[in-house]
Amino acid sequence: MKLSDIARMAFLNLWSRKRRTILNLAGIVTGCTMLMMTFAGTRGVADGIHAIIDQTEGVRRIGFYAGWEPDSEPPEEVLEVHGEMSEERRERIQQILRDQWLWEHGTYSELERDDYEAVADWDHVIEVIAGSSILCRYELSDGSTVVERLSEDAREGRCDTASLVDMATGERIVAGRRLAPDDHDGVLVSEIGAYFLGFQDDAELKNIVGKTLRVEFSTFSERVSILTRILNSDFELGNIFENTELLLALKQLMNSLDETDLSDEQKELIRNALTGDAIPQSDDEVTNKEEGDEQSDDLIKIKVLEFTVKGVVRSGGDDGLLSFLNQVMRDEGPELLLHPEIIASLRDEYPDEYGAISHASGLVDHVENLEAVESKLSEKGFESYSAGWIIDRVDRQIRNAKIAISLLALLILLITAISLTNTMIIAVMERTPEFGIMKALGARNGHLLTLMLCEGAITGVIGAMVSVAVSSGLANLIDGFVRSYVERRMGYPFDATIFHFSSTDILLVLGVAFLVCTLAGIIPAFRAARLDPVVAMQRK
Amino acid sequence: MIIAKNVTRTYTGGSESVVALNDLSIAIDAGERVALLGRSGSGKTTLLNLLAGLDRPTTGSLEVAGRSLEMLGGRQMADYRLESIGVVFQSFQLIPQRSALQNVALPLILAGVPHAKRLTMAEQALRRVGLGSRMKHQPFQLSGGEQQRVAIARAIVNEPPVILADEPTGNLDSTTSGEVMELLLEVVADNKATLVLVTHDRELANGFSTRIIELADGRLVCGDES
Repeated sequence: MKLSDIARMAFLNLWSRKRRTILNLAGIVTGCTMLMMTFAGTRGVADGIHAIIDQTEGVRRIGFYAGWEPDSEPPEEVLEVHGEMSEERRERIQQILRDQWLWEHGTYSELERDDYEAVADWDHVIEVIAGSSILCRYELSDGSTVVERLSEDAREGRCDTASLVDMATGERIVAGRRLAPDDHDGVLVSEIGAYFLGFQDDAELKNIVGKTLRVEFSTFSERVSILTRILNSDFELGNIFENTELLLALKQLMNSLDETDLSDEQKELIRNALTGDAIPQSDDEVTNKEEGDEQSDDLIKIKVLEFTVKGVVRSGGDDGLLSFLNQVMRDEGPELLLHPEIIASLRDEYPDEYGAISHASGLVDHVENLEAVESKLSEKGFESYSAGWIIDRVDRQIRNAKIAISLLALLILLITAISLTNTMIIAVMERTPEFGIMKALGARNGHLLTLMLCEGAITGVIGAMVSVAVSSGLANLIDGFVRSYVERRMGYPFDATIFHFSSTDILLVLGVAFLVCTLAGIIPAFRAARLDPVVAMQRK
Repeated sequence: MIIAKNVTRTYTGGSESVVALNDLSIAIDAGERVALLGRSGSGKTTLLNLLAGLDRPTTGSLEVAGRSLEMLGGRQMADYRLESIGVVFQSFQLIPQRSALQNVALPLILAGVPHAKRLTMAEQALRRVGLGSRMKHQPFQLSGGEQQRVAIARAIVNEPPVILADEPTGNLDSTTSGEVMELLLEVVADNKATLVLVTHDRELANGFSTRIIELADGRLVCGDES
């Protein structure tokens, strides 16, 4: 008997017992679909999360700063820990004492332009943006409410994560609308900003839209030279930016002092006059007059701009991963959101010498390269932070979930196989007379064995192929739902799919189904082969 | 053609054993039409099963169409059944899910005859038994007589030298029985095959056989001249 005839006979047998075949196929399709969806789903979810992460520019940013330089090591008496305790606990406490001492006795290094600009030339680094800690004070133009806040991570935040903000604000707008692409005069106010401006009731929130907001960009006085203060007092507010050339010329003069014939004493005097380090500031140079606010006592106005409030952005809230990443990357988030180009021009206009570049943010080409760039930053002596650890954690969770779900799917397939074995044994019992007839007519045991295995294998392969089609249909359906949901939630097009089918998965599922169903046919096949033809033919 | 020497077949069930055939010796020549006659339990079906290679004797030897059956392994026995024997059963033993044509083609499939050739051969066999118009019908769509004709077509399709018929008219009315028996004798004669007919009907045995071998309690009563 030829193998092709056995296969043909197996097909005929399956076809002639449609109901049982369909039941068997249903079991296999369920198992294989589970397996396929599991493989494709875990890969798709991982890819989808990575797609969200890749689309989220802020996640690819690494913040870095020059770091904290301890002046010296703490004296031994500082690290003395009294009491009876385990060595581990003693070491932990000593570590904290050491850190506290270093914090109190160290020097915070500011970032040099050359340092961060060099980073921009590294592999995988697309751009580097310097950040300044600028204070800002904002009020409604009618003077009704004045808010003094440190919000200029607002400035840094908007510059660094412009696309993130742009992307995230779609759904986070609670009143008004988001900024248009050319809306340079617009500003979005956070809920907390609106609250400080006096719009506390929900019903009032929309009333802030359309109001004009006056924003004073300021900085700490110790970061500002005497020259700036002179300029501030001599010129109209904001003129400093128009006189940058003058400032640079004076700086050049200061740098070339050593080449002059002036005495050292004279040189020192001029340096002090220009940098202001040794000269206390006068009261009228301080922007904020509130008592008891140590921080705002040292503020100096740098520039004033007016914006129209276009909308209110929700502060915080549970927005899932993206919100979490937003918060991680921008701490508490800015109170004011300006157009990225405004932020960029502010930074360009603001002289570094007076702006105190405290940190910088590097944009990496791909999330996978975050670790490499961070390592290099560490090697160069920078302190850095990024969302890399979150991505690692997400990846680990996805891997764990994949293993767990795969085991579950295999368990389902195993149950299917047992069920299939059971139904095939019943089928053999039902077909006992048929096998008896075949043996009486001259069928060898091997023929019946091969026939049964062939039926199992064909059922498995057909089941797996149907499951590929079913999985694909289900995937399209679920993808559609998920895409529209994500787009609604995030407010931007979401191209990723939840289920990624690979040819390897399809082949694997086909192989597993073939193997499982063939193995499921072994016991019934041996039963069929061992039948006594005379007894078998007599069985009803 | 068929030589049985001192064949005994004992069935053991628990502590009891039943001797179905007891030291039986017979010889049947090629082309003979022999009727195995006897009452129920006389051992005639047991003998037929032994000749068909569906069972093995407890002791003694059997030689059919030049093959010593006691020497054959399972695989060779299957080949023997396929090549040397055609069996017609009382209850037809057709596969219910298959058409008449597929049932008749089954021995040819087992013999590895190519698809086209076996279809032609099966069609010819069905035409030969007068079922040229019922080839696509399944057994349940055929009458008892027609089903037995299909069984006869299946038994002769690969032209075996020995045809064994076990009460072939047992499930048929008298008119149909006569038609079926005439057909059986016709095709056996055409194929120059040896026919062993098992029956308890003496009239039938007298009418359609050249020799009657009568059994009782597993022993030969009369009819063997060896």
